Amino acid sequence: MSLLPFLAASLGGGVLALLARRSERVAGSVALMALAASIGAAVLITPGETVAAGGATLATTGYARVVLILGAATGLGVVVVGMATSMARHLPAAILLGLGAAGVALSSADPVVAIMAACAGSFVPLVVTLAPPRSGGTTIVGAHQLRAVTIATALAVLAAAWTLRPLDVLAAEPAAAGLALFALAGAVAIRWGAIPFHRWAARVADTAQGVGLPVALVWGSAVLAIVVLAHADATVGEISGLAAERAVIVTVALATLLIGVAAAYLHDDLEHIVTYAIVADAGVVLFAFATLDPATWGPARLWLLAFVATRTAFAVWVAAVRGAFGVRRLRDLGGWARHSPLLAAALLVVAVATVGWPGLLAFDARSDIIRMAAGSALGPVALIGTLAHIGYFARILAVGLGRRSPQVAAGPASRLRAVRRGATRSGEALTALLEGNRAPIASAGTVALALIALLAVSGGLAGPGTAAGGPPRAPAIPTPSVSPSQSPRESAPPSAAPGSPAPSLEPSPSVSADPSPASADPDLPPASDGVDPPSAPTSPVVSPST
Amino acid sequence: MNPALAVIGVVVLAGAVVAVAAREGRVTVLGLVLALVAAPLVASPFPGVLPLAARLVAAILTGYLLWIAVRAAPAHARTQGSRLGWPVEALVAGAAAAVGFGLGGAGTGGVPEATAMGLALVALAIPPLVRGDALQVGTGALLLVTSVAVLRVGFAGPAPPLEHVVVSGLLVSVAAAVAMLVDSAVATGESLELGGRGPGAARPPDQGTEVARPWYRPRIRR
Repeated sequence: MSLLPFLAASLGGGVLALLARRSERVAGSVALMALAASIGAAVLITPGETVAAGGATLATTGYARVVLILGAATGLGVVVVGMATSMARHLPAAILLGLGAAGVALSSADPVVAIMAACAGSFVPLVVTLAPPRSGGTTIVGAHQLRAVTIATALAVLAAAWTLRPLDVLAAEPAAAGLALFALAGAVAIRWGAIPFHRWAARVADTAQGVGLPVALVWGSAVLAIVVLAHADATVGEISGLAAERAVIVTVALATLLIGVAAAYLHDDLEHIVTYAIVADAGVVLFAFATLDPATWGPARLWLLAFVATRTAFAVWVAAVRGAFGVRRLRDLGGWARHSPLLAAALLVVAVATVGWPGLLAFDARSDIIRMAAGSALGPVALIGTLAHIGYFARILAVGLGRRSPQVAAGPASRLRAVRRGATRSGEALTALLEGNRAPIASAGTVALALIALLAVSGGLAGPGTAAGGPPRAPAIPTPSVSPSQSPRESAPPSAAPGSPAPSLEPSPSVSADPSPASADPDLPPASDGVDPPSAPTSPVVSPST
Repeated sequence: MNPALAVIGVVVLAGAVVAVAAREGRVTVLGLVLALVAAPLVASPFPGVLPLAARLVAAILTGYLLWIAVRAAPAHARTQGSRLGWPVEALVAGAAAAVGFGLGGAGTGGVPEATAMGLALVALAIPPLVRGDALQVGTGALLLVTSVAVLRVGFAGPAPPLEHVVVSGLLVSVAAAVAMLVDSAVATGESLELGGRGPGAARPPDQGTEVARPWYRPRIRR
């Protein structure tokens, strides 16, 4: 199976990088090689393959392939910029292990296995938060993060296990189904740091070293949201009559969106600005939980791709600025844009990719989610909230165009330097070249990540057809040889487990936001090539009265 | 009620009660390992040999990671333990188990004994999770993750082997995080208290006095 080389590269590389963590240089080199291998292995993943493993099924999809390529590519960028600026010793290993967990989570046809794997990946960033140098405050922040991730894990797994039952049984108890919806949405909200669960995320911003923020706050949240949203869509999303629960989720989502953006605008600390921007994005994901309509499935997954790319680029930009000038407060960063035009260009691209414009794939996806969840009354307010992201970007750029502060004036130039004359051997020359050009390397890495973000939001990585494809599914025909020792659940394909919607290989209508019949991504190969076709959960909507 | 599952459940709960009530870090780790080793057996039918081996390895690795972190703590660094004492913790767990057993196998194919043990573990896990002690927070986190794996069996029946492997990975990742947390608390405050506000950090034992010691450690005069 084509997924296995990716798992071997990411998990194996992660373990090796962990063993080599004593030396930042060796760990970084191992991680760079493993991430490069992971990118190659992710590109070679063939969508549509399935393999039975331990009574469950791992199935590759086109969307999972794109997420893993994006994760490995941005991970490589993060490590490059981290080596040029600063990063925790454990960061490369955490990135690789998180990627491996994401690979299992996004490929598992069993929802409980998928959610557990995503949650396992969510604990990995703690080793970054708690990495030396440490203080008493670091320990407290780590404890807050551990509590939040543990509670999110418990909520997600319990709700997923509870909803593993036939839809008619689930629909017979609408109150229990509503609680399950709350638990699933709450797990994502807590893991993401949505308001009012944002306290731990804000504190992580105080202790994150260098490029650690995207690992701590972005990737694990996105993978958990993808798998939980898939399960919620196929179970409680099929039950009508949860209007009150959905109204509560819309309220929390709107509050998260508006307060998060306002906090990002008001903060002076760059790392807090990034964190509250990420918190604000949790609002969009919660809107997707409020609708749980097959039509929001594609847009939500498209927007999650854009979220990962844009927020990683923004967080890495902050690390590059901090590495260059040694300060993190806006009042100390006057004139940074005039001093480092490359970083200014990177921030401009990140801002454009984050806010977008009508017609841009990510912008339309976000608008579709909000329109379907918030309706005509609150929808415009939420849309204005998403456009308000431009406020803090404009503020940062305005500071950068102002008078140069002493810290910025003392910062390194962003242009390349030649090798010093003393270096005679090629190894020495290369080391001298890299050491002398840390700032340009960090700036170039940031620009590369910003361009990846632009590619993601414009649909260059995945079109609506790829995003609208369903979650991993087990093959319809189970293998005839069933061991007598296997439980009934083991003998059936995981997607046919109690509570899962009946698997269907029948062609189903597209669920893309694009209403046109040709909404499938034209760059998709035919379904026979293994790409999961756009499909919707085929179970009928069941009303509580049934 | 299946008597074998009931006996295994009592073993799990005994380990969990020891873990949350003990004041000596090593005893806490011992109780945790006991609970983690026995927890996958609360299922009907029992898991296969390979999934059980995976869970056993994960339990031992979890214990080892915590042991590494706890053994670095100074002798005067002790956990807060239970505020109410182990009998009260045991009674709370028993009551929660009774409620859980009353719910029965909540879902299709669920195992009532697993629901009982899962709820009891949740009841034991929540209080330490909110305490200001690194090892207790970690104990609560590990017990809560174990409890959801057990409750999942109670709700939806036996887990497939791959799920046991993933649960093993989940437990090891939580244990690594907890070990880092304990190590950080010890390194910054010379105690297990969060933020280095522990009594050990503030009042190191005087020269010539006997430090508090566990029962298995030989008596040493300083």
